[in-house]
Amino acid sequence: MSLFFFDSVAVDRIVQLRRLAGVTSESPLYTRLFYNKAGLLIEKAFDLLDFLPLVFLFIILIYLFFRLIKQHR
Amino acid sequence: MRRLLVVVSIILLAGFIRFWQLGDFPPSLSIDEISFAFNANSIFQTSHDEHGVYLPLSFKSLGDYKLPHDIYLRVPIFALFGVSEFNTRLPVAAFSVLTVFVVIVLLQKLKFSFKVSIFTGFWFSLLGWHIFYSRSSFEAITALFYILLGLYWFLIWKKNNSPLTILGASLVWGLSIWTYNTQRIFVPLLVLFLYLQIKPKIKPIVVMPILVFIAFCTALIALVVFDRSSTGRAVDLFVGWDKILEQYLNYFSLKFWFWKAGIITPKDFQGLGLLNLVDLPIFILGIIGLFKSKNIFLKKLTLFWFLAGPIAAGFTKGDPSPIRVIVWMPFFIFIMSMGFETLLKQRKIWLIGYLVGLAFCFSYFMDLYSRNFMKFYADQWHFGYKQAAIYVCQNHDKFDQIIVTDKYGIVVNKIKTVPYLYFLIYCNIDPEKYLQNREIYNISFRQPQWFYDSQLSNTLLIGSQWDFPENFPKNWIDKQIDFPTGEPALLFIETSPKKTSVIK
Repeated sequence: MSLFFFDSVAVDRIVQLRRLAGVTSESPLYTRLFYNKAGLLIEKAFDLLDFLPLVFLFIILIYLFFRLIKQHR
Repeated sequence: MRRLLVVVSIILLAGFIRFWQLGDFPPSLSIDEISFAFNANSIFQTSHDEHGVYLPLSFKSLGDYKLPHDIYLRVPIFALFGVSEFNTRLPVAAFSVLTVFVVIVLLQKLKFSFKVSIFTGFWFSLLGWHIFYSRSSFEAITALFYILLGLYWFLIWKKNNSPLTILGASLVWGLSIWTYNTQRIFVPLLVLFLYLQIKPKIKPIVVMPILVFIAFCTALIALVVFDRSSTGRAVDLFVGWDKILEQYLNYFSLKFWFWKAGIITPKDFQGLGLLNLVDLPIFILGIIGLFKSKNIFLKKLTLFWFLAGPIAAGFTKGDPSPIRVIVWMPFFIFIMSMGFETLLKQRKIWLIGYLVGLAFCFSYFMDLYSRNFMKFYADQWHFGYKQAAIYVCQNHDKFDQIIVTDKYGIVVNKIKTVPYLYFLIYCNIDPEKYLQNREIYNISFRQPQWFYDSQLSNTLLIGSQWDFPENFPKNWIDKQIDFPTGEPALLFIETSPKKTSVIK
């Protein structure tokens, strides 16, 4: 199985959209860097880990809640 | 002396990035900028806004009721240096550079080392999230400056009880709520938080600034109560009571923070997060540093900012917006500072690695900003109307009538524009004359109706490609303005009954 398991159609679509907007030709370096399967891999990783700040938020809220209870005892 | 030189170099760097070709890029004043420009000029010349209201506290403008601070701020600048694109963008860009300085001194007041403060200042001067909005006259940048300056003065006051500094803090916090809407919610929360931290005894030294702050707030409340129309914008944007929590939580997104926040490119395109991708490991170090930190005040302040930063944005509908959470920026600054504190203690190779990554991310931002941004958003920034206005100003007497479209776009004809403001500015129309008869030469601002308007003699039609028939011969176009993508933005057609009879 390939390391890059993403749908190549998605990559094509992004590049096509960029080309329609006239962007690709202006930024060949960045297009190569981000508009490829590796770029989509990073994107997928962000999708999977997107909830992390929420976890941090809830840890903080729980911490503040228990602190409040402790103060009132 | 060496320290001063380092600080000055960072300020110069921030200044260069924010002021370089400020008048020329973005190449068109946005709808808000042009409105700021005309209203400020109108206040300077006539003491009335574009709707004829005498020294308003809320500018009706395009129906969005702008807060007054940034408009009045431009009045002395226009009085001294005249109206221009550069001068329109000057105040916000200047406040933006000053913010970099305030960040450095504030971090030192929060007991970060000079090295960490400087490094954070350097990082902040290269932060795309801040640079982008600084160069386009967004009021949130001014408001951020006031909040941080107020906090800095507050910390000085906390240490030495100097009445001037607490008075200054309450003054700038008061001003900030007249600058950008989210501050109306955030600043009272910040003041309450700081009050709870110090619980000062009621002495004259404390009463004075409280009175100053209350005076600002009361004036704003009075405005909202007595002028209901000014709350219309808030009603339009309100997400609904049942969705506030969901919208608030939407801002706690790793992807939004580090990968795609929609700052420069539209949703479906690769762009920038609030911070750089390379900042992610430093941010994690910062979170760990926050938990380990023995600086209780800094800990509480960071947590307060973390929780309170997106509250105001949570009330507004739409996708998470980076501009509505500019006020959240200090949270990220504090965390990054804590991360830099750890990074600077590590082996130099890590620092060099980070700097290489930062250089790459900055060049990526510059590429998106300078080459690609206008290709996506040219129509939303009303690209082309400046050139049209300049052409018409020089040639209006050659035509009996000129019709300029108020709707166009890159892909579809969907952007509603305000061409009259561009013509008022670039034709140097005297605001007093405009307030009296509301006419600009022989120009009408509406979409050309080909069937009727093509029959008019000696008329110049300026429209988008959708305003004219499909089989329209291209050689009838006298002049054409293209979007940066190459798509036609505005077509100039001189009517002649002989020509139009061909395709009737």
